Amino acid sequence: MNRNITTDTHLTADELDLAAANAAGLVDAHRIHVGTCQQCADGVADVREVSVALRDLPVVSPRPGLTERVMARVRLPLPWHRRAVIAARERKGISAAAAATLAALGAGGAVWALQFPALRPAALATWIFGRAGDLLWQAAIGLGRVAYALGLPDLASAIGADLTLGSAVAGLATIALVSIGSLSVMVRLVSETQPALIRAS
Amino acid sequence: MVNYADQDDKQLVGLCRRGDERAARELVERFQRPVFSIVYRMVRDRERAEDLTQETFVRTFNNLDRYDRSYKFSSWLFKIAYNLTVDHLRKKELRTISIHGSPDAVTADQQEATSVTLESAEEAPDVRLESLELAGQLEDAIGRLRAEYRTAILLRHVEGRAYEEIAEIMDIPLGTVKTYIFRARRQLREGLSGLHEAPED
Repeated sequence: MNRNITTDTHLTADELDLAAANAAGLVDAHRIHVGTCQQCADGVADVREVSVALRDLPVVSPRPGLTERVMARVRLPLPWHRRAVIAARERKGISAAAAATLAALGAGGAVWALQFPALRPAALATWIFGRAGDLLWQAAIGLGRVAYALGLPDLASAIGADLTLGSAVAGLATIALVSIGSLSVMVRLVSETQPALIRAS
Repeated sequence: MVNYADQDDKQLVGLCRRGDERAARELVERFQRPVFSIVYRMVRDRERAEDLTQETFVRTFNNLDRYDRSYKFSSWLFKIAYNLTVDHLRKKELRTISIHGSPDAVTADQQEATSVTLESAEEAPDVRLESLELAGQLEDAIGRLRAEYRTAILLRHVEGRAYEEIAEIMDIPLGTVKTYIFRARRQLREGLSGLHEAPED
């Protein structure tokens, strides 16, 4: 910052630093002032002498092994998946029961699906897409009703008139965006570090 | 594969928060010398300086959830080191100051354990001895400064920290930092002028 220097004012601490380092940032007015003001010249000499002496101080270092001693006492947070594994190990009974239940449900579901042709993958996909289309229509109609209830008949009729493939795709994209957003929030919540957890092995 | 040496401090902190122990090691390796250097010059006792340095890192990593990423990591680390050191100095008033070991050292072994090895650039033995003597006297002059002045001037001239950062670390106004450094320089310069006159005596 360029500050006007008069005979009654002196260089600031920052300006003394710049003058001592003979730095390019020092403006000519300050350089001239140092040449004529004994107080500022002394200040510059102080800075220069002390900074040179301190810069040349010998390096002092801790003895080797400090990193190991620190790491032996540090308790870093663990990633969520490692916490889940550790929690599972600590609760072996519950984990075994949960795994057995999941396996039984999976096996039962597979047998059931094979016995009923309507639940085979292709048929299931057709049904899901059919239902998704119905849901989109229902959502659009619901939106139109809400607009009508809010006293916006023009908007309601516009929604009704514009129920096209484009609006269906837009609706699907909105749902996808909301789902992705919700999922990312959930993932962040789960993976957020917890303070003072089990030490990283 | 993460190259830890190429990561900046905040990136390493992010990795530590996800439980990456190697990132924590890199931060310890990166900052152990500057932290030890400041702490040692504050307490003038190698063993205590190493203990305080170790404690600084342990507290830093065990409280990473409290670290505000808008601040420089090094400022936060130095702040913890400063607070720990000031607490230590408050509890134990130093009686004498010497690079030759703790004032509490009674036996030669204790003195050896608490003294510090000054690492100097390769010089002829007599030059090295002279520079170490000068450095020792300068260290003594630094040790005679008030703890606040000492911290401020070491952070400024040994660690090259900006005034604003020193204010953050010491939790004092910027103007106070400038005053401390100005006074510290004056006192050190007086000490240094004594050194320059000594050879002629």
